[in-house]
Amino acid sequence: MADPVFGPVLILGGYGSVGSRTARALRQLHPELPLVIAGRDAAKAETLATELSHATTAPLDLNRDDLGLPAELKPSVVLMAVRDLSLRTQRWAAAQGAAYVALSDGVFEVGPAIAGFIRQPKAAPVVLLGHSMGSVPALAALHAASDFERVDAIEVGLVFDPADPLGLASQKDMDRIGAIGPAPLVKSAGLWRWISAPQTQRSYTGIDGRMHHGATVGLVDVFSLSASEAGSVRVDFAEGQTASTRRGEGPSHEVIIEIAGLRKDGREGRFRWELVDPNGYAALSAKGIAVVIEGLFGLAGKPRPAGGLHLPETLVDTRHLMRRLAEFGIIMREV
Amino acid sequence: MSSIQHPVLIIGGSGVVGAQAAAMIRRLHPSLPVTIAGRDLSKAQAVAEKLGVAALAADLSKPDLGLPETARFSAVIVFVKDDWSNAQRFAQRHGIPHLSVSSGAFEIGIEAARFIHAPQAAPIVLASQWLAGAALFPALDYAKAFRSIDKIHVGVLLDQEDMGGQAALADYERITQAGSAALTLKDGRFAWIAGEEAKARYRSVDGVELPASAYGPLDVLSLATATDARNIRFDLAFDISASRRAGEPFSTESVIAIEGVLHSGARATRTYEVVHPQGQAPLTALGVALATERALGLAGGEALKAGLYFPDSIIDPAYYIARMKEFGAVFTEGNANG
Repeated sequence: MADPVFGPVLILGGYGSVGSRTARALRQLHPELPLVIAGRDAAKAETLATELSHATTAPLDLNRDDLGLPAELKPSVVLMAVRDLSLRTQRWAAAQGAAYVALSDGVFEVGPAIAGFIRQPKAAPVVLLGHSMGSVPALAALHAASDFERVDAIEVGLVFDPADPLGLASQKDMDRIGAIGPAPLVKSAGLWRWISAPQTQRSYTGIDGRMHHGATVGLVDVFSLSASEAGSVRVDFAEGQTASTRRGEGPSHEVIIEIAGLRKDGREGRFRWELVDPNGYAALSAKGIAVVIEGLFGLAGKPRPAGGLHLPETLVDTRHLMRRLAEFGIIMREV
Repeated sequence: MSSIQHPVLIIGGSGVVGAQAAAMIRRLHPSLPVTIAGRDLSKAQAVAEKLGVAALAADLSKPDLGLPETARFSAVIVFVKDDWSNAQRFAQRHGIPHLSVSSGAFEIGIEAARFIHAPQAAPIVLASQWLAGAALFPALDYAKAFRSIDKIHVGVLLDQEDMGGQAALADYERITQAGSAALTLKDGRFAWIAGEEAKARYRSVDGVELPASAYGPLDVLSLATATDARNIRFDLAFDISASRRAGEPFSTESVIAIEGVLHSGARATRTYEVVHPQGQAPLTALGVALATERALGLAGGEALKAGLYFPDSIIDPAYYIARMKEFGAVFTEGNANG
């Protein structure tokens, strides 16, 4: 992918937990894709850029209209691995004609990104990617749902291992969404509902058969899941020891997908898929984000978008995601 | 003259605001057909009869809205919260504009996601600004006098006798409760505020101060992206309007204050008051009618192509304000009451 029409992928906050892993995942998929690691700490950015190769660094100042970035950067994608509560980065990306990928917005917080798109609909793609795990669980669920004639309900349950703690940025996002957000959003029997306890509570079994007690979180996964015709969709987080930890192998991240409906082969009922990233939640997020960025280049089984407002499923053919995950050694299994 | 054959479908058209919107559309475009739809057919029929238009029973819980299969429409306006998104899907399936007025800023993603999943299907107009734009458009027009803006403050008063119908009350309760925080822009950054921080005072047009609270319709999103204002706040007082304190019927009020640097280079704070002596319903009805005529290409340009729109991305503020004045809104600059 050394095509000159593809400007570099600019990762704001590129040396953070999810940012650095995304850079490495992109590098693994595309050895020559130019990357720019931008952040306030030049030394950290430089260390990562050296490791990645075909990567440069840039300063970052979110208080300036030009973000403190050099004018000649001309990125094709601006990936927000930092939180910018202003419209500045989105405006800057639009002015550059670069796709804007918002990683942090909770389900109630997408208004500014949407409004920015409405104001400049032709500037460049705007991607709502505040999903759990870089949208891997949502896209994997849509992939599983494609084998259904009729989908009644999709329930996604994630298991976070306490030994796989959230990175600083992710923790801040979850704290903010929990503290000021409205009750989380689910679709239930065809109705969008902002629910509170006890409806937010849900228990589900991890891959070793142990029960985890989880709760709905206010992330945008439900928007993607509503691309299916399912009348009910939700995503829940639970904290608990993952099967790998109990086997003494270190923490992993577990994704449990349960879909009720009628299969194309005529079977009807509730079906279950499992997906595990042995390297934990941030590693899985990075893979998902990297594949969505491939989608912005038209390399994920769908046409390259010139503009538009997007969710990952409009950029990524779920079969492509499954192939990429397999290359990373991650297989979704129906169980 | 409208050359549009199929009627505009107004769901919730027998409610207080919906019925006025139907009347306003008929008034602006007498040859544009309108169909009033509601859960209660006899109520819809009663309203429709007065206006000389058609009535249908509609059920938002059904994908076909419970409408006759052969029925065709030119646009869908929804005055009640469509928790199923069925009206939007219906509009997308038929390739006709969809207008909604009930969403809080925190809810906008639901309609946007539906648009994202079918971007080429239909124009989607997000008209859930306060009274479908009655405070937003004046604010945008006044903002034109400024070279740079430090602060836009919009205070609105909704009289306690002027909630409109059940749909408006349901919106108010949902937005103030489910959306526990309201969106503001503070020093260039979006902030969701709640609790003490959300509390405010509203100075009514007769000078009386009333308790108010930050509120979250789409105005802050529109203002933040349409202007370069660094601070934007929208407060709502649900109280007694100045006219009612003076012994007259209730009215609806907006007080818009803009601080910044004028094109002359001088710093200034300007305050404007907009009052409608018949309350919120005529203004909401007008705003929806203006967005509808614009979507259908009956005013100010071609019919809208498929896309996602705010009213302020498709209607010129000067035209909107001229219509507000024509239909009874009273505009005053400065604090005439001292």
